Amino acid sequence: MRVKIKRINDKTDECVTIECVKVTPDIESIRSYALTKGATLIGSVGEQIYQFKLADVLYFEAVDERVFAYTESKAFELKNRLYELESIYADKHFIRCSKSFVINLMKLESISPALNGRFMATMKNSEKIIVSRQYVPKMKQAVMGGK
Amino acid sequence: MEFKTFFFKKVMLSFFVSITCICAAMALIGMIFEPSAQFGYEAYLSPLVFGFLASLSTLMGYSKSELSIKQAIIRNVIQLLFIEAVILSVLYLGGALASLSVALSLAASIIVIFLTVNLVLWVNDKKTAKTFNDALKGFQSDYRVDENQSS
Repeated sequence: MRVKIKRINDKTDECVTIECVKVTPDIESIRSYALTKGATLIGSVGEQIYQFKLADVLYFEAVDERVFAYTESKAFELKNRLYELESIYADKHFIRCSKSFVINLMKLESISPALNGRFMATMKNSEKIIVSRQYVPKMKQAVMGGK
Repeated sequence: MEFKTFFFKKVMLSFFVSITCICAAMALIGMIFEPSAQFGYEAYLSPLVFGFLASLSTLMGYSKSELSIKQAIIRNVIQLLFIEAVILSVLYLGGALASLSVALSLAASIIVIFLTVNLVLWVNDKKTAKTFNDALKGFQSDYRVDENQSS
């Protein structure tokens, strides 16, 4: 597939156009990725409100009734519920790995076996998150497809 | 993990590894304590029965809700104690525990078998993790845009 990049002056006019004969799963993935790269979230740290890129999020965590988005440097509190984030960003490489965590597969370094059939996920910033047994098949499906 | 998947992946694997280890332990302990003993065909059934009892206890590790690491360790210890109690009781009632040294050897071999089964399960998980990690690298490189190229 040929890739063309055309420079423009106005940031608000930036857009990705895909010209294809048929919308295949590969095309859908490229579309999802492009959407993810541009997507931003609004979150708060204390009294301050911030806008940050979805692609920078390592994982979302639910703590009691509150939901946080973690980037390498900050933890932003969000207004959304965890299941909403899981649903909205499912096609943007975010996947639930336990009752309280939704991780960004693009920020996942590796997994390793833990106790009782569970796995430990190591993120790109070396943080470790428990992967529940019940979510391992879905993660495998997301990464490995039908293999 | 669904119960069905847990049963087939963990319990069945545990069953077959247990049988292999029980056969080895029976041979070793028998050669040490009763090298001249003779058995009938029914002796072939005992590894199956003990393997079944030991594997069935793997169900103790199943929980719909997520267990913490501490809870998982406690369940594993309870499972080991349960296996020790059941197998030694069955052998005692069957008159197979001739002396304290035999009982201690059997108890020790049960611990070794238990650890071996868990090691095999862990190695299996390690293999799964490696397959996943290899696929993850490919998955990430497929979707990662080369920032330098696009700027």
